[in-house]
Amino acid sequence: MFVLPTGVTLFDVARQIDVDAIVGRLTRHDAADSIDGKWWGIPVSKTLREQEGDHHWCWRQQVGEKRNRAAWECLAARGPEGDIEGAAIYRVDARSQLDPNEGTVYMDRLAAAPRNRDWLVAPPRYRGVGTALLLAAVQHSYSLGLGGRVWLSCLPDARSQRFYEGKGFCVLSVDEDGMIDYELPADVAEKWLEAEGCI
Amino acid sequence: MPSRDDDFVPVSSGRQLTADDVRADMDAVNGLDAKSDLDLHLVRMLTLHPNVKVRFRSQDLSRLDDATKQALLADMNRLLGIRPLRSTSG
Repeated sequence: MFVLPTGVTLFDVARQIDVDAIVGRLTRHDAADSIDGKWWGIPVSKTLREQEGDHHWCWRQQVGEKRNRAAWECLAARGPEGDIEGAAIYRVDARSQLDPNEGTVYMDRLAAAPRNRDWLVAPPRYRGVGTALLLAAVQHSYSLGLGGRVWLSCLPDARSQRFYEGKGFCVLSVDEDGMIDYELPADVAEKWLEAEGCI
Repeated sequence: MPSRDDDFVPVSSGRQLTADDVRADMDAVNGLDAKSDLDLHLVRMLTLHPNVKVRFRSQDLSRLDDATKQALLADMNRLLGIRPLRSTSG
């Protein structure tokens, strides 16, 4: 069983050390106070902010719509200071696009706090936030008997594509805006979980 | 955890999935007031794996104690070939 909260490790960029963090459930209150009200309070221009694909997301609303729905899960990664360093919302009732008779987790949205994006803030506070949340979704998928499969839609970005493809995600489709759908196959997910010592 | 160099641009956004992309049977348990994370996990498992559910008839979770629920979960994991997660409680 995937139990929350679960311990993860983030990399503190300024101190150049790994630090303990946790991934736990994201509540509507936390989304309002610690994400919507705080994440974009960083010294970046409006132009840069608006280039970020998630700058308009309202996490409080998203969590409010999904809470109490068994098909959905909302997670937050908290650093040692207790701040939310990243968040993810996914559903567990999607159909695998690679294995049509199997289920998969579908990542509805995933983001690290803007202060952790090295193209916005130098230096960023932490690295590894997105990976920690993605790995949590893979663990959850595996524990639910979905084989660790995760399906997601990737905003057009070369680094994201390199990351996902390097992790063994398979391209499902590319739309007219360049957004790529990926799915992590079960065998690759299991190897990743083994490599991370999760199973 | 590969946290130094092995990270990515961490913003991904989903689509509105079509009805064909999601299971219809989870709708029945949306809104269910699970009393604990264990209950929620079992509800999800029993819904996602109806073939396994057949093996465990009459599973009214509210009538089971935690030890029985854990035993039920262990049986389901064994049937489905799910290994315990080391990073959590298993």
